[in-house]
Amino acid sequence: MNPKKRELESRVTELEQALQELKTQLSQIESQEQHDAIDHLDEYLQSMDNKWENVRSFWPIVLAELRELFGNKNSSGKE
Amino acid sequence: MSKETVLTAPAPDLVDSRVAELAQGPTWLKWIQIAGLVYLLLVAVSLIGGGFKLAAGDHARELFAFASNPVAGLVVGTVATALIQSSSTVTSIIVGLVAGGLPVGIAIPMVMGANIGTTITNTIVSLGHVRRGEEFRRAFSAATIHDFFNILCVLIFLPLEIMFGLLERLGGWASSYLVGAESLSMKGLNFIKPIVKPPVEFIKTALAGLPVELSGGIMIALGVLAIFVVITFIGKLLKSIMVGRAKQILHSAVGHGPLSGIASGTVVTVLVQSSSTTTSLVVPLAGSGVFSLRQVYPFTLGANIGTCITALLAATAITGPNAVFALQIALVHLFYNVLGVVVIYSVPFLRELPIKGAEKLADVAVGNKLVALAYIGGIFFLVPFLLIGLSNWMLG
Repeated sequence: MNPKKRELESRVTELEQALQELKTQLSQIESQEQHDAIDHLDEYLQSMDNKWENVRSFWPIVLAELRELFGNKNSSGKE
Repeated sequence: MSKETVLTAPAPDLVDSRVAELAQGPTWLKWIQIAGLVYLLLVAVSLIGGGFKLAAGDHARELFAFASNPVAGLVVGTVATALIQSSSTVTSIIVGLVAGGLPVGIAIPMVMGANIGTTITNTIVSLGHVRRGEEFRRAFSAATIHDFFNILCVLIFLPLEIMFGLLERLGGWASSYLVGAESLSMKGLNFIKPIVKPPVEFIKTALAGLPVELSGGIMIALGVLAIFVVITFIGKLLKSIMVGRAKQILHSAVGHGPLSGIASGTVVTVLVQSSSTTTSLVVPLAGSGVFSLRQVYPFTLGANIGTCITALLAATAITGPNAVFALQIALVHLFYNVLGVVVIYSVPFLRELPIKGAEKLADVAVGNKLVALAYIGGIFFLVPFLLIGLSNWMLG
């Protein structure tokens, strides 16, 4: 076999193995992050009890966007 | 319906403070409280059934004539659930109404609507992430994927129901199999009647001096109020007891694929008796970026299946000739949700639609929060009423 070809094949195999190892490591890190997030489930449950707070924090942003929308329209109307 | 049946829910602050008090204390006490609340749920469903029978007599069909248009039934279920924010409450009330004579065919679109209405809760929860752009995009898509799935479910199964009565037939077949054909009392569940009947009879006797329609209306009102309170309290208690178990189930589902996700979503919802709790839990998990949209998707589908337990439980409260219909509507709820998951999730093209819809909507909403507001107002309130008008115009 062509030595150049053999070398390339061997490098491809090495890279594939390295890629597989990296994928496994990444998957382990992702799994660990997911387990850590699940451990905070009680905090998420508590925050659900205050879901109307979410609407309260959402409202000013919507109002600002409304003001911006109509403000822009008014200013372009004046022009 | 008579004015007496129109209810105002207790002030949320008052309920929340009582719930917080109730959620304290030792676990054994909480289990006793849960047992008491389940008993109250059974009494409440029976009360609604009895009250509706009294108030409507043989005119249940005429009373709900407005909902004989399936779209109107769908809208009633959607809007009622979006306002109460609990599909378990609405489906339990529907079971009670069916026990009182509401035709199953009219109740089916209402049950489908309850599935859509319940998704408002996790959408509201996702608004909490609004100040953090990318996090909001992920959280909002994790919330609305449930909406898109449930809307797709209705688009597939409501026409099938109108044309062939698919779910009504399936539910009818299964309920007649489960309920003794001769006595029409549930096999093996006859112990429910003796424990549920005394308080219902007591209330009926206490209201005996009033006109029949009025006492029926009061019974319905009491039943609806009791279900609302029971579902609120039981949800809080189960959340506090079951959070550890829910964690274990989720830990075991990590990295095990979509079927495990569906199963864990189902079990967690059965444990906490609330699909909106389950679907809201995934919002921060997805929002933080730790779980992808595709990973939380099966979990939210499991919530649809798990939530059916409440209506099935409610159906056990009904005895007598209408027990078979009460069980039928509860089973229709179960079949609808199981078939929905099987059909949509097993067909790759259909499976992708809720994902694409949720992603596109979130992409737009993150740039313009007015879109999120318009979506919530439109999908849960405006579009349903437009649909009623359109369908009435087409039918008329």
